[in-house]
Amino acid sequence: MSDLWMRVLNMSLAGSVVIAIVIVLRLALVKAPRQYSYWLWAAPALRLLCPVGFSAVISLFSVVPVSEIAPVSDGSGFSTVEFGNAIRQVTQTVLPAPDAAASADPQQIALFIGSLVWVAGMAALLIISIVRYCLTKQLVADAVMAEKGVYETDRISSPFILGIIRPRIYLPLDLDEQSKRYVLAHERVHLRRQDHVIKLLAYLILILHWFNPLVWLGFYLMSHDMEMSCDEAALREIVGSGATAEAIPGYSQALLAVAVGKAFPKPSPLAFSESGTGKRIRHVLRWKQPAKWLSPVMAVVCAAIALGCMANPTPAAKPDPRENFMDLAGLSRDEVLKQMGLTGKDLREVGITSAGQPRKDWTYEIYRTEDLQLDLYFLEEQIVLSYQVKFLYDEKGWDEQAKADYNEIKAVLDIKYPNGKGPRHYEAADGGIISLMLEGPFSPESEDYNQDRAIIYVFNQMYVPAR
Amino acid sequence: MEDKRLSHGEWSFMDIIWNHEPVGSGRLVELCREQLGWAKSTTYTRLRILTQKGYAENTASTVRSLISREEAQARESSQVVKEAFKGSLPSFLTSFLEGRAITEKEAAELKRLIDFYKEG
Repeated sequence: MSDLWMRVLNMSLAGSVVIAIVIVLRLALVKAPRQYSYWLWAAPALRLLCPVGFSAVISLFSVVPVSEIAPVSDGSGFSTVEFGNAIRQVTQTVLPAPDAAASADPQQIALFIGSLVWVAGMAALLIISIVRYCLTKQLVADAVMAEKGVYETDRISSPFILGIIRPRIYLPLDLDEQSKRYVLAHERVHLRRQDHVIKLLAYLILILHWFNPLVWLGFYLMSHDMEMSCDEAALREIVGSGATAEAIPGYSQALLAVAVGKAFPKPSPLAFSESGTGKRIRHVLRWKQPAKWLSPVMAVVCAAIALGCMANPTPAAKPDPRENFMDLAGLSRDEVLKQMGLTGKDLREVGITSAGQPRKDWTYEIYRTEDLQLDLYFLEEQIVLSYQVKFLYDEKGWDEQAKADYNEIKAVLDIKYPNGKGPRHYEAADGGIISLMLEGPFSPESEDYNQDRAIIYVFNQMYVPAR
Repeated sequence: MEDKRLSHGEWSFMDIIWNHEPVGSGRLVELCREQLGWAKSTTYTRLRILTQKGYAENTASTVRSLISREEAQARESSQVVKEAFKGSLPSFLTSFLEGRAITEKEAAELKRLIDFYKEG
């Protein structure tokens, strides 16, 4: 559950960035037809629902300093943007660092509690919505059909759509004929655009991200854009059918007729109700027929923006570790030791491993220092072949800590070797490079197990941290 | 019977009952589907509610009204006067007639009613 909660937190933070971007863009679109602003909301919706995006060279996330977010690529073409650093920083300042002696990690506990609160909030909101839906359904139970799909009742004062599969338009009873026509035009546009479904989806997103005030703001603004773009479409239809002169004042009249005086519409998802009468009237009064060519252009622009918001910045190219490492190949053993700042007496020879000789003509020596723990391998000609930072075996058996660190490494360099059998180079937890090729059984359960057995490394090149 | 007014839906329902009573409940369901767009369950629910309110009865699957249309209208208008016009009949009539001229026939009928109901 904590995992899921972390995921949702990440999605929410990413979505918040996109919402902020959309809000800024909307300001530029204030005088334009409202449907473009409405289309823009697809971007945050996608971002809030999809845990993954894709890596692209151009991403709107580039506006956010990349150090704050860590693009993580798993090589499959998909990547996520993780705000783990940001979250960890917050929790680290608020909570004490994990106490090595204590068995519980305060960060983990906080995360777990957070996930419980999140689920509780979702459950509460879901229950409230279901109750409201049932109450609304009951309210309009005795509505009388005026025409197919349209019902009238005197128990409501503003029209709405109820139902998802077979949605019905509910109208208040005391509407004059003209207003009724305009209201129906408006509601029918909603149905045609599947707005009732969209609003339900948006509400589900809201429930998922209920803890995020930006998402509430986004929902509120999206609803306004939905209504106003619907007004625009309805007006286009009304004007299209010939009633040009009276369309705008008539439509405003209709809006007034059904105004309920609510300043803040409740985000009720299934009883699809109207928002913000004052703003809508003002918008309607300013409405003009839009230029025909503008629509497809803006559609492309909005789609591009939506895509841009889904794109994660490509992970900063990891610096090539080879740049920091010195190539020791070709150096003699003494030179290598000198490079590494070791003298012969620092090394304790533990003997030559019998763990399989990759090539008969090679010999190798294993050296271990008290703290560095390195293995050096040499050819007969005493040319250094390899060098490793960490050693997984010591006299006591598996070095559990080293093994644990070892598990956290990621493949850094992908060097191809002939026969396909080459070592893999890993970056260890301490930043060093482990180059690893396993041969022969070396687990404690196997017959040939020998505590002194080393892991055999065969390299074409090797690297040592430059001093 | 309650002191509340009937809703539009309930009026339409009673209208069907008054026009067709005594009516079998099955036929009533049909009529409500045609004229009101109601599903069968809706019709039965509303019938149950109106029966509880005392406006209709459903015995042996036959539905009858328990109150005549005129009486229902009388109740309704007196409720309107009470609720919206604080019980004042003149203000109700003024509002009702606002902007409208009454015909000779209406005037005569009103005069007859006034004389009939005048105290004394």
